[in-house]
Amino acid sequence: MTDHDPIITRRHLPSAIWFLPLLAAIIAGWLVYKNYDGKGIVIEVIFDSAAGLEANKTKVFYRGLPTGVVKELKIDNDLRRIKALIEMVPQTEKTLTDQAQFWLVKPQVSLSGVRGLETLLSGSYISFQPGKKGQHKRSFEALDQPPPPIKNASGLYITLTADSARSVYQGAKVYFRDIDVGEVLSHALAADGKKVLIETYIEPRFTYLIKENTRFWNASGIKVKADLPKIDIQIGSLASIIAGGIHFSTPDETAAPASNSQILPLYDDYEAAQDGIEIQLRFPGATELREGANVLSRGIQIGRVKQVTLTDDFKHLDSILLIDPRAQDLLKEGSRFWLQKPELSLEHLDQLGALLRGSHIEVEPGQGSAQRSFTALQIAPAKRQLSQGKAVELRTDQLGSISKGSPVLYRQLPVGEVINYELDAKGEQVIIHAAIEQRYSHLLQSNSRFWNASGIDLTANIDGIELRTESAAALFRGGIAFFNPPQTKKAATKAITKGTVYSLYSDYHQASQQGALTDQRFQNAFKIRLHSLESGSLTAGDPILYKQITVGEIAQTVLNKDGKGVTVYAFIDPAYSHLINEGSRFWNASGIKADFSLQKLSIRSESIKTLISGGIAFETDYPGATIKPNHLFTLYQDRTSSQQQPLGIQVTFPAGKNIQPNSDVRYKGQTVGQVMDVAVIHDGEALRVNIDLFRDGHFLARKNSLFWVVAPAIRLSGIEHPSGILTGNYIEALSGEGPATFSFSGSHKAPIFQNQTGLNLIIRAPTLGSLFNGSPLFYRQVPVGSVTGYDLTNNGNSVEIYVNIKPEYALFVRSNSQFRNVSGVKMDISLFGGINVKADSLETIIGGGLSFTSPADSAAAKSGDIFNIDEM
Amino acid sequence: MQHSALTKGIILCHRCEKPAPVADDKSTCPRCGTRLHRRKPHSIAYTWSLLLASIIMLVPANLLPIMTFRSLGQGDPATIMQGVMQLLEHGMLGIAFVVLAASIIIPILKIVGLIILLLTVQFGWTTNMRQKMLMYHFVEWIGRWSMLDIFVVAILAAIVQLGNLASVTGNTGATAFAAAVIFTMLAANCFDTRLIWDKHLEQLEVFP
Repeated sequence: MTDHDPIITRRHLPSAIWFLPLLAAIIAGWLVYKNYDGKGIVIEVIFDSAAGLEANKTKVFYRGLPTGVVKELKIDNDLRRIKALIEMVPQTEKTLTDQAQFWLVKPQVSLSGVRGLETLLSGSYISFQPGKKGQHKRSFEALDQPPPPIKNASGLYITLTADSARSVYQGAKVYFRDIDVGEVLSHALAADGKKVLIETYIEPRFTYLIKENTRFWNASGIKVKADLPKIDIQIGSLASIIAGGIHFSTPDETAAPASNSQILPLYDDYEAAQDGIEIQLRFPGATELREGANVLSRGIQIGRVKQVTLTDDFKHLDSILLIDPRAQDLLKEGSRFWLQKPELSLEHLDQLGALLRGSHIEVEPGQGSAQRSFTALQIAPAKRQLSQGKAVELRTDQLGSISKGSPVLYRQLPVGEVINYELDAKGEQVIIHAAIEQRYSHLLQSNSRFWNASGIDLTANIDGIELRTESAAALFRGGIAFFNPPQTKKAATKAITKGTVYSLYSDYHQASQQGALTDQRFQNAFKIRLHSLESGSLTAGDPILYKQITVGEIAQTVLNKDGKGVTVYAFIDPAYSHLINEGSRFWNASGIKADFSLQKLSIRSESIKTLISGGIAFETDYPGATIKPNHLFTLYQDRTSSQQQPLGIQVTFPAGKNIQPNSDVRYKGQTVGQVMDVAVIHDGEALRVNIDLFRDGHFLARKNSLFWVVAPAIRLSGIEHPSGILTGNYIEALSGEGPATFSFSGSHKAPIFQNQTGLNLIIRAPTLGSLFNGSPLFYRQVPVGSVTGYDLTNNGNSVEIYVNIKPEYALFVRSNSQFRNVSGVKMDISLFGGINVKADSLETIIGGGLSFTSPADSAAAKSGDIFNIDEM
Repeated sequence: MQHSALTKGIILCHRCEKPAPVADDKSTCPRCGTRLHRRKPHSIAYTWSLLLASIIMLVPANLLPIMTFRSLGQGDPATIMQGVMQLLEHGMLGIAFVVLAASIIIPILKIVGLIILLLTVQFGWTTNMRQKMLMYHFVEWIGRWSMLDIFVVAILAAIVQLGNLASVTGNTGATAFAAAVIFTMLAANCFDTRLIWDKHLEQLEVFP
């Protein structure tokens, strides 16, 4: 009927696509569940302070593994403490019992190390110690400090009991032979408060070292034990000094090994630990030995006497010694023991300590196999005697502190000793007999110089204070030292004969001749001598300076035999000897030299050292002939005078012109000397001037040399010697010929005829006119020369005018040249010629002058030719 | 008079978009041979189920941490919201807003939008159809931006592996979030917008 009706089929099952949301729901549910399943158990832990705690940040760690995080911080209800809500991971659920512990770990920096360094970056964290059993709970109280580590690591846990913890605290190391074998885990007071219990952990690989009888001692810090004979300083390793530490040793290694949690005592120190190897030592019956006496080897304490018992027959004294295990190498078959009794003698004053300390047992190590039982020697073995040595005889005035046994030192090394001493027959000198050990005997030479090395030799000078002592032993006991100056040829030939007598100098300086003999520099040094009027502040040892560099040293200053001077002996370092030749100039560089004049002001000193202590400086201006050693130089007072090398002359001037000390002496304008002083003589009629001629002016000290005073002159035509206006008059000199002389008479005027370069002529004129010194001479109105002087002729009829023609113009003057005076204005008035006015130049109108004309073709004029001027 | 292609007897091929005449249900596209459907088959059911799946996945996506950033040993797994809060704490308002929009607002908007569309079709609501079309296109367009978070996590986890200095690891939340986004995108894709108009045309009795 309803064929065409659509067939409607209804699916009752939902589409497969609906599995998708289902699947999504399952996955999402699983994801969420998984995430929240990880969320742990919330517990609360009560802290005293929330410092370092932060909600959602601070984590709980167990052995470095995060096991929880602080979720919330609340103040406890009583407002006194902090309650931290902590979410722990679910795995911890079973361990959250009443044994579980929480504590805050903060960075901790202490001397023994840094703890919790990681917390510096990450912040503090809470450490968690799971509880093993007990009731589960959810509320805890945090510990103030970390609990002792759990004893579950393999290794040995022992408890040490001590009277005081004394810087042994948690983390302090346990050392065995200074090797770190364990550490202190904790320390706490015992229940009764009388002991400190120190929990110690020994690493597994070292546990075999700990026996039931192992003795521990506290090696913390530095232990100084001072008593009269000695100061005993015990130091553990540096770490143990800082951090504290425990040392131990096991006297009997066959004992049973220590068990875990064994309680052992901790001694205060090594001695208290009564540590040591027990050895038996048998003494003769009558030995004064007490318990506690020290056992020494070469002065080092290696043990002590633990027990002394007399044998039954009273013949022997059996002692048990405790020897430091470190010294067990000394306990060999051949080792010798004896009782060292203190004895007081002048020779052995060094055993004063032993006297105070009492007797002790001395050990001399021997060879052989290890041994633990010994018999002591009756008496101390004979002291090693000086082997066959070389005898030395020394003579001195005073014995000083030298005594028998005083050492003989060579380079501060004892090479022998004083055997005996005696007065010589006359009682004038002390003879000291000494012996040099055979192996050092080659050090002794014929020129060896000995000195008394006792005491302190203090030398103070500007260079500093030199404190010289030989060894400290010599300081107290006295001693003789010697050195060998370098061999000279003379000494080398002289063989040492047996019984050579040496002098004993009182100190090193004497023995070495002020060091001259020992200083290697001086051996090869170049020696020079310097002559000086006075030594100034120069002393031996002062430097010789070249360009302010020390190149040598003054060896000594000696007064000349005539008493008129001082000779300074100086050494120049060979490296610098080439700097000195005949032209070298030496001067005393001591002090400050101030040079003040109008032209200059200079203050000069050499180095500060020379300023105070003195010294000699030198300069070499020009290469000169090399000198031989011991060349004698002059020592000038200062550098200027060394340059000038003044030669004193005396000039007597007629009174009139003013001359001041320090005025210059000039030769052709060049300063060649200086006026040293001026004295008025002959009732004011004359001046005696002492002049120092410098080196350049030495040639003036000859007979016929002329000296005259030059004063500035102001004329119409100009100023003559203008520098003289400021500096004052000076003395001009003209050299003469003849033998050397040192006394002259000077004049006020320049010499009339000066033999100057060029052509020097004499002109005779009826009058001088307006000519003066320096008036010009013209040739075709060009100045070619000047008037150098004038004088009346002998008969007074005419005037002689001296002129100088400059060399380049000398040719123009002929034998028949006509000279005329061009001074002033020349007027010719004639009736028919009118007025003829002639004047050369304005300068000649005012200043005057000469003029000449030369005819051609005539012979050239010669110096000294005389010309005439007929009319002016 | 409003018409749809169907009322004119034309079916559009899903694959090549060739219009084809309405034949019986077993007809295939004359060009590419794809089965021809008048409307996407099971569109509403598929969309509903995918939407449901994405809603379910959004729960772990927002509750579980999506990423752990560790620097110098510091750092905790963070959920999306925690990340937004951290950005806000650091004063990065803009980025915080972008993350919030891309990771929380847009997925929720998408889901809400799709639910509205689905309800429209189911109950034959014929109001605001044009706005609903716009909404659909907006939902479809914006859906891909929700993958932003996943890209960020994936890229950071791949690049920031500096050991203890800084390291980024993705967490399960990211997986859930990616699933949620993919489901919403698929859901949007499964929805056939023509269904919105069909009811309207039905009411107009233009449907054949």
